[in-house]
Amino acid sequence: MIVCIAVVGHQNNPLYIQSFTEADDALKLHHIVHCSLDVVDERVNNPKKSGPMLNETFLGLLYPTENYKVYGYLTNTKVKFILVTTDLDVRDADVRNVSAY
Amino acid sequence: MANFLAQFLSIKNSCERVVIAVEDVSDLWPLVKKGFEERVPFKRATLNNKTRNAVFVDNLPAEFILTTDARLRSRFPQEQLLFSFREPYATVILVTCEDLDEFKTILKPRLKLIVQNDEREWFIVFVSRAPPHNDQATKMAKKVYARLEVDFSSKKRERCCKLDINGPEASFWEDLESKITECVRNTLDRRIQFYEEEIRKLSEQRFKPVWSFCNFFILKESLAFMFEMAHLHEDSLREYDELELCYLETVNIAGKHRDFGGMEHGDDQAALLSPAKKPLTQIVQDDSFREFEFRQYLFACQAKLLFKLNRPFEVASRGHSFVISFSKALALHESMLPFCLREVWIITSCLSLADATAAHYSSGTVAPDIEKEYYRVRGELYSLCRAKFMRLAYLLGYGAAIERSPVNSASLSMLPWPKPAIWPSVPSDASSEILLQVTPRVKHFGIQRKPLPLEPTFLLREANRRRASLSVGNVSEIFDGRTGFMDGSGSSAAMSRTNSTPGSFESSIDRPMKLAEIFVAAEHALQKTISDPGLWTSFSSLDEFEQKYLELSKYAAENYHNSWWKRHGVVLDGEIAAVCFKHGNYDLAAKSYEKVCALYSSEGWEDLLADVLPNLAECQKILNDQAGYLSSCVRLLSLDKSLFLSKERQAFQSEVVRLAHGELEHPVPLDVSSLITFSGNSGPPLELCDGDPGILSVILWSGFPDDITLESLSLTLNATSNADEGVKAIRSSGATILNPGRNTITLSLPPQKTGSYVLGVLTGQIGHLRFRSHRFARGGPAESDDLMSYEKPTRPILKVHKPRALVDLAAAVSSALLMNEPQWLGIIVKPLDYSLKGAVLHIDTGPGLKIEESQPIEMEIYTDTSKNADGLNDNKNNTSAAMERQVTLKDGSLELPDWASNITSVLWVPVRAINDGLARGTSAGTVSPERPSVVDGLRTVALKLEFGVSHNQTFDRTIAVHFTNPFHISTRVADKCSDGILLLQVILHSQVKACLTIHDAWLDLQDGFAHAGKTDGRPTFAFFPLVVPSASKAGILFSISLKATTTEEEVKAMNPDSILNIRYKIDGNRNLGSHTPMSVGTSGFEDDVSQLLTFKSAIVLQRPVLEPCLAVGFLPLPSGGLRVGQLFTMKWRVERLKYLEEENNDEVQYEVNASSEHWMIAGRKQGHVPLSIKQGSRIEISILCVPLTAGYVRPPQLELPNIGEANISCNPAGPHLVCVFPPPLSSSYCIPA
Repeated sequence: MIVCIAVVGHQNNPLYIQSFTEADDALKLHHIVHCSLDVVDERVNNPKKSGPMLNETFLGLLYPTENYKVYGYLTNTKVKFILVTTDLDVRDADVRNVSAY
Repeated sequence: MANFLAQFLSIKNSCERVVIAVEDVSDLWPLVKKGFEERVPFKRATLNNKTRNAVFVDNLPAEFILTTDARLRSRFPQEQLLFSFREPYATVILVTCEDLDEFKTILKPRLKLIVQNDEREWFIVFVSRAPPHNDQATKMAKKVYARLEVDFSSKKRERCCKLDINGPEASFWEDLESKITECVRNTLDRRIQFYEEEIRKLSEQRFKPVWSFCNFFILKESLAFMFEMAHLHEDSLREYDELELCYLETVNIAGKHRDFGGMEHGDDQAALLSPAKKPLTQIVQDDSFREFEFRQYLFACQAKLLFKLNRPFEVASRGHSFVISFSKALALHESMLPFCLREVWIITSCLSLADATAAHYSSGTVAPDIEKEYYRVRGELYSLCRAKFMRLAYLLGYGAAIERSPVNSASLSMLPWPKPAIWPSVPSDASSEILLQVTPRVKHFGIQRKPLPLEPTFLLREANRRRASLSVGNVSEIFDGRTGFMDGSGSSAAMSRTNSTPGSFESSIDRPMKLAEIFVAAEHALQKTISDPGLWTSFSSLDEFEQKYLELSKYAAENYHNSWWKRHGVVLDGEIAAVCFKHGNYDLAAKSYEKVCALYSSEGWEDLLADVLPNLAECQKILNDQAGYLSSCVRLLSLDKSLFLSKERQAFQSEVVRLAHGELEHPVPLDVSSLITFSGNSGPPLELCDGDPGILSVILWSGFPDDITLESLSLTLNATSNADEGVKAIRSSGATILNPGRNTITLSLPPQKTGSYVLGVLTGQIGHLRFRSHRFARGGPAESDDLMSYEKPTRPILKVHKPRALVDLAAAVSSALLMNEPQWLGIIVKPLDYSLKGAVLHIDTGPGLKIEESQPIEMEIYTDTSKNADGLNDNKNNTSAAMERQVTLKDGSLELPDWASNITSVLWVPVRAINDGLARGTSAGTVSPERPSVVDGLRTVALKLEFGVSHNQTFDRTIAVHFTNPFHISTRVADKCSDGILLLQVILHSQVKACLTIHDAWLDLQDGFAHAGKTDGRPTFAFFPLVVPSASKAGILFSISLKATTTEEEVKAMNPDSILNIRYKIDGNRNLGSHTPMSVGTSGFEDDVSQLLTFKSAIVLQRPVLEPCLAVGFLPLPSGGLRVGQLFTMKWRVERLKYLEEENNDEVQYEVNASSEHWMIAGRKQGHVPLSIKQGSRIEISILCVPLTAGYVRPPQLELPNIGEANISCNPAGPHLVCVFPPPLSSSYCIPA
């Protein structure tokens, strides 16, 4: 289940965050999205490590933990789309399709 | 082959190094043993890896073992094949021989026997014991060695080397080392090939039922071990990697139930770095191994090799991946495993990995990006460990001590509860538990928020659901009637392990467990699971827990700080701060909170900032850091309004006001840029002229929830053009009260220098608080009041123009006014795009001019008559009615009326120019210098206008006004009648731009003249009124006669000059020039005598001379014309016409005048010539002349100085100009220098 979708500006400022949880715990999702920017920054600043991902805007799985996954999409204007899902068996292609929209 | 496992393991454990066999044929080993063993480990060996590429191996360890040693003798051939990794890699044959025959007969056959086994790699060391001084023995040894070489070495391979014991043989050892290395290399190659072949064969049978993973493992590990012995760690690691892959494939084959493992005591402690923790024989199961132990074993082998390869960072990263993947495997078998073994295993594995990698890692030896990645992984390990640690602590009832921060909530609330098959129950002896009471923490400012969850689901429900004997029934029963826990608000109180009724545990099997019971039960279960006493100590008390929690958080944060993931590090700093705060270490807490706040604030994550900032404020308040506390309050106020209740925001403001007005000891500067923003008014900037003050209107947005009083307020203006200009502060007078939202304030602006200005900084004071704001708000509609712009506005708010003319004063009329009469002096006051409101004009008349104070000063709108002559009257009538005013002059100054502020107006000042002299006429036809000069009629008026907002502007101007008489008089005698009456023509030249009407004129004659006839000197009345238009002439004839006799008295009584009197009226417009003096009423009748003005002018009459006494005639010039340089005679004839008695002179004085440029004159230029007194006598005066220049030139003139011009008649008259031709070409002439 996608629990959060966020759009983050090129200065890493939140532009839009929508969480889909029933509990009043949006703040923890803010934290997850914010911390995932570390990974985006790392990928952007170290293109060597990204390898074949270099020219792709879809950043793939940013932040695998035991409990949730964070996917990222980086536009040409450095706006990031961050998606947090609790589905642990997600195929990359499916998330890629989400990003395509 | 599975039977070989135990044997394999024992062999492997007993084998450490590469073995080199020594075949001691001649009992030389004791002699050379020391020297041989000193060579190991071999410094630099070249071996081939699995892909047959040469690899340099440093310090290859080896062991020399005699072939007679028991370790090499008692082996079965099959063992030798299977465990060939432990067999000798080279055989060194030690021989000596001093006799050639002995060599041939005994040694050689024996050596042949030894080397016949092709499998072995061998070479012969010939030891020469010949003493160096014994040449015979040396020669023999050489011969034997030569023979040995011939017999055993080949071209392909050198198999012999010679050691001279008694002589220096430095090259021998190198030779020996290279030969041993060569043998080892060859043997290694062969054995790799053998193992590969075996492994290949086994792999082909992989999917057959007979296939055994154990056998595969023995082969694979043998190969890996052999590589490891040969220090080919990279190849060894690859073998283990392949082994792991293969194992995972076999494990994942479905349908085959295997025992997972992990059920034994001590299994909770990860064995990731100790391969020998559990013997493999114990974990073997159905030709394979138990997953729990075997995967850890494989990783431990890999880690060992990686450490040998000096790649601890790879151990860390592989370790992290392994922990994550192994954790999944544990989750699959969680129901079988001891309670929370998975969590405990992760904690121990992460800690052991972090510790081991740290021990092997030396900073700065790898590339920076690898180092950063290494620290990142370590941070992840600690972070993972921390999450699991918190989870266990929560199960034990320490949940209330865990900060419900976003990071902890993210870690825990999505982490599922442990899933044991049956949730542990409370043991019967549970009554002696320590009671734990945690008081819930109340946030500063009375902020009340629903705490973030740390639980994925309600623990109470989860635990009871997993109990075998209970089916979940009524929820209220489960929650013990506490509905507060349902919504999370009362969770902190419910979290405590307060167990007031220990006796009730006994019957817990039949009813749902209470939360406290769950904690106690979990504690008992965990105590059984956790075998590490150190870890268990961490859960023994709240202090121990917090210490470990702090330690893990610190390590995680520290490692994140060294990596790319700064945000992770800073966020964890916030968690450390929370613990510091709890323990009263406010200083450290504040520092860490500041870092967190700075991070969130810099990237605009206001929701997260709103969670942390109150904590920072509280620290600062406790530390009495007033500046920091105020700053935090301001930041809280400037956060998005929706993040706090209005009551909370009011609390922030009241704190600011309380401190500002009361408790501050010293004035504190504070940046409120985010709270109070400002901008100029929309629309064009305020424009001021140089030197003018103004009033500036500024919009202020207040982010305070209530009204706030600013004791003072000032704003700086920055000049856009000149940075050196500095800033100029403008202050508002008095206190300002800001309402929430938009406020418009006005500031009085002192005169500024020329330039355009933008808003700079807003400063002010609230109580003792000095605040500054640098932030500009974007002007816009009301609904976007809170929308703030980060950019500096470039739009100027104020423009001060360069100094320019703001007003112009000029004379309205350029033509002359009437002298000695009251006249309107027009002064045009022309504002040049500038208001003259309240302006004061000072008028100072110069000499010869005075203001007629009897008349009021008039003012009217100015209309340019020169451009709008036609509609002049209409316009004036229409517009001036309302506008025309009379203004009064007071002490030489007057105030301009308001209506004239912005329009050009004309001020009519009544003046009179005074000239006491009498006008004098001139003779007609002559250009006389006596004609009145324009300068005589010139008068000046000095004007000074004070204007501007505060009379700060002045304008000085002196205007010149021209006054004149109405007429200039010239006279001539028109004719002389035969009766002696002279007709005197008086010509009146109009001097003014107005129509003059002459009503009367008479002449008061001087002595010697009398009016002809009996008239009174007036012309015929029928002439009058005579109209003289502007710039025209009129003439009046007077008939006068010479008066014959004059008495002495009459001479005295009469004037020396004749006086012409003219009575006239002037009809002019003051807009054009001279006009009717205002003292003369204009409403009277036309013929009213009182309207007439009188003008007097003196005329000089001279008695006429009508009979000249001499005539001068110019005699004709030569007919051939005059040429330059040609001499000719110029002649005049002088004839006496009449003899004047008073002259009594028979001589005539003459003088010839000629321009020296044109003429050269020879002869007397002046002198006396005799001329008879007889009438008709004549004489000729001649003079020689040479023309000097060609062209029309004035000829020499003859003058008679003693005789007046009137007495000379020129007949015939001389020419004005004569024509002089250029000189003939051939002639020469002289030109005076």
